[in-house]
Amino acid sequence: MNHLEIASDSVGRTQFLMGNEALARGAIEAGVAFVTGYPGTPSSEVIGSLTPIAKKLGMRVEWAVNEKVALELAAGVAFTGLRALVTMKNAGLNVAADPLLSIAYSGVDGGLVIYVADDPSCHSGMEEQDSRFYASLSLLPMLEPSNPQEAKDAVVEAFNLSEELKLPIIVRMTTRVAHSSALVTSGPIQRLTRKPRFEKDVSRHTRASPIWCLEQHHRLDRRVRESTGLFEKLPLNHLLMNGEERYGIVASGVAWNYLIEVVKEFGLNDLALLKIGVVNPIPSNLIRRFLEKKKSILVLEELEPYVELNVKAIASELVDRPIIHGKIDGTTPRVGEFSHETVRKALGTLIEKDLTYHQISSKPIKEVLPELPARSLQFCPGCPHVGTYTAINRAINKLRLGKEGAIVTGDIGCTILGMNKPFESCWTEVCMGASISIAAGLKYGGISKPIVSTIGDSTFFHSGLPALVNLVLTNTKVVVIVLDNQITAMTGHQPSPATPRMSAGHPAKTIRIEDVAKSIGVEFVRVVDPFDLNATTEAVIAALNFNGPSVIVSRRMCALDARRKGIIESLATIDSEKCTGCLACVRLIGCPALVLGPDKKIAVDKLQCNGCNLCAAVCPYHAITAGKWSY
Amino acid sequence: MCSCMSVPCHHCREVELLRQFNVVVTGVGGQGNLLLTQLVANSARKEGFQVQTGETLGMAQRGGSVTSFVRYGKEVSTPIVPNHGSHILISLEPMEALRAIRYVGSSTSVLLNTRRRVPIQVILGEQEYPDLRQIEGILKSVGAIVFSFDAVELGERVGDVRSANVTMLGGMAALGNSCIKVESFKEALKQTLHEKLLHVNLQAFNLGYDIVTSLKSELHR
Repeated sequence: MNHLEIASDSVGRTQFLMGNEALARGAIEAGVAFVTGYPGTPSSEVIGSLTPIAKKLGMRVEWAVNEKVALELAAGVAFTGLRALVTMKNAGLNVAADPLLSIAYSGVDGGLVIYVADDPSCHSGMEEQDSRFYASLSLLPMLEPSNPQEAKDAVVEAFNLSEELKLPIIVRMTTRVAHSSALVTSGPIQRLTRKPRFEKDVSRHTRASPIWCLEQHHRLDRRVRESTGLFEKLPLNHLLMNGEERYGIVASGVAWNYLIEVVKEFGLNDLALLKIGVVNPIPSNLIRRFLEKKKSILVLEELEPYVELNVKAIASELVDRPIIHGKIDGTTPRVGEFSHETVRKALGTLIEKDLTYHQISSKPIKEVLPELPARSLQFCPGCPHVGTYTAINRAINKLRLGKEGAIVTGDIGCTILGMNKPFESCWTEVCMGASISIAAGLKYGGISKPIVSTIGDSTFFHSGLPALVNLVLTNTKVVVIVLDNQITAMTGHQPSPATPRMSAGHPAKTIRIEDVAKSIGVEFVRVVDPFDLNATTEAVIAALNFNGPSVIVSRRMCALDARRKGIIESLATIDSEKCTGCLACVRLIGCPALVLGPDKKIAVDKLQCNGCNLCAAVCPYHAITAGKWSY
Repeated sequence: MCSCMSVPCHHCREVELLRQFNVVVTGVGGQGNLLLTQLVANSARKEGFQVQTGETLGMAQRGGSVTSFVRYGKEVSTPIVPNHGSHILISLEPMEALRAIRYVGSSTSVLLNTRRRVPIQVILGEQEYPDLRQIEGILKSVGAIVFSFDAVELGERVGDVRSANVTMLGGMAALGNSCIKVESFKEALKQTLHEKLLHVNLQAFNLGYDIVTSLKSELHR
């Protein structure tokens, strides 16, 4: 997609957009003034696609230090009467849950939309959190589009409703909508020229008085309840073929898409179908009318039985209650994303027909398929983290601590890949910033082994910093290694506070982690270059010997960023005369660019090599000439 | 509409019947999977089809298995290809074709790059990489037609190994079952790629086209 096209003024034009890009287009059409968020798959492309055109649109677009700060920034903008959008992944909403519940009580003047992306089947390696329950928790309205066109339309609608109800509105999507591309027809772009206003009203904007707080709760509850009719009419809810059919299917999100295809494939025209696109307030009148006179109902939705519980509650008020099938009776799974097969199977159970696919081969595929070697995620060739983890393992070795003699607590992002072969360093991964506090907790619990925490620069600023303050406060001996590649790499190279550059036209100051550590009282602070294996190893040993909290900043640019910036001057080369095929390089750094030649000796895959020096540094036979970076 | 218009087209009828044509692209992160997916989608758009793609991003560059989908036709509701439902499986790495076997069925043509990406535990001798003949045999046993060639070698021949993915696009065009004209594939290349890269990639496309054309004629002999 061309970034300028997404902001095109022509109405009724179709563009091929990813769900997240479509959502960004919706924000443009809604005349949003401010967009922020924290990177997280599968939500990151909204801000990614707005950043290059923000200036042209007169929109302020920037990454925030974490989701809590992002939501507060967006709420502040919405308090002034302007429109704001904030984006995050599922786990991010947990971080932003504190302001979410509070801002729901205050309400907003300008439209505020919170986009959260869930990830059934854990494609990006996080919990299968069902964020729809945040709608129940915060009482806030939530919309769930099931394709890119709906995503675009839902955002425009959400901004209008947000201002009508004076409440933030949550838009929830899943990976298969967020990362699916389809044709999207554009609508008109609203050019809002609003003057910011913010008037003092403590009865609305503070919580400390129970009287005001209860009144705010009343107001929130009333506004959402009274808007049920409004939400029920949205085209996101959709009724198909409702007649005197005995069987009814209620579906939401991508499950609806599979349902439509399966129904058409088998010509199942005698079914009543209801799509639920409004998660909260649930369209209860629509559901009640749908349930009447039905014999059995199937609820299709990914993850938890959110719609199903609501359908069951509504059904319980009816005289002739249909039987409800779904997750609670085991008709559909709670774990993993849906597919055509999930829907075929469940639908087949409901209508007592075999809708499953029958394979032509004589033997079941499981019997003929060999065990396939897994592809665990690896550091990219030239990744500076390879140097850091090699140094950690060397230091543990040199101190003769034994294979599991030291604990390494890992953190979210690329840095966790140190858990995989060949390093197998990290023991834990909990959530953003937890490497430091989990390490301290292990110490409190009485673990005497030395503990190292590894954390990336963006993760450090996101949530690691308060944990480090706590570490200093309690003088707990943990070695904190910040793997500072000066970028948020895993989610697609968004800037972090450690990135030396400007962010979307607004001046961004680079914050140095060593300065932060020193200023809060860390007494052992070292900055090392992970490509200098000896110096990095020495620093880790010194930190492990230091009696108190210590911080090592292991700083070098992400290899993919280096490649993009064209600073890689030469690649590694191997002298096949000297290579003995001992595989020490593979065993120690496990670089994907090191491949086995037909002569059983190591060769460099020029397509993959990013020209670091680490294979050369670990080769016991000096058979490798290092690559070179100009910086 | 279809590139095989001159003869009674079995495949066009199939698109009509099924309402959509299903392509699965699989391989290892960093092999150009996403660009290839985009190229297939843009080619299908040139024919005026409804198109949807489905990808999993985020960890695509870290050496993991990556599978994406392109579905097109008169009507597409979801980007996900049903089990056994692919018409074309493009596998940029031999073993990855087996990992995606659930999408393979009796209507599937497999384009298989024979160049291996060997995982670390195989280099270290801890696990075995399946034999190419075995991989092909398993794919055929579930009803697929398999076209194997070394796409990286073709890329080397045009002077840029990164164009290996585009040789697979040429292969797809040569299959002649996709209801996308060869010209539309080339138009999509022009539209999607940077001008500087176009010449090399058109050459790569042609090499892939030629090799699959000759593999097809061997099949009929």
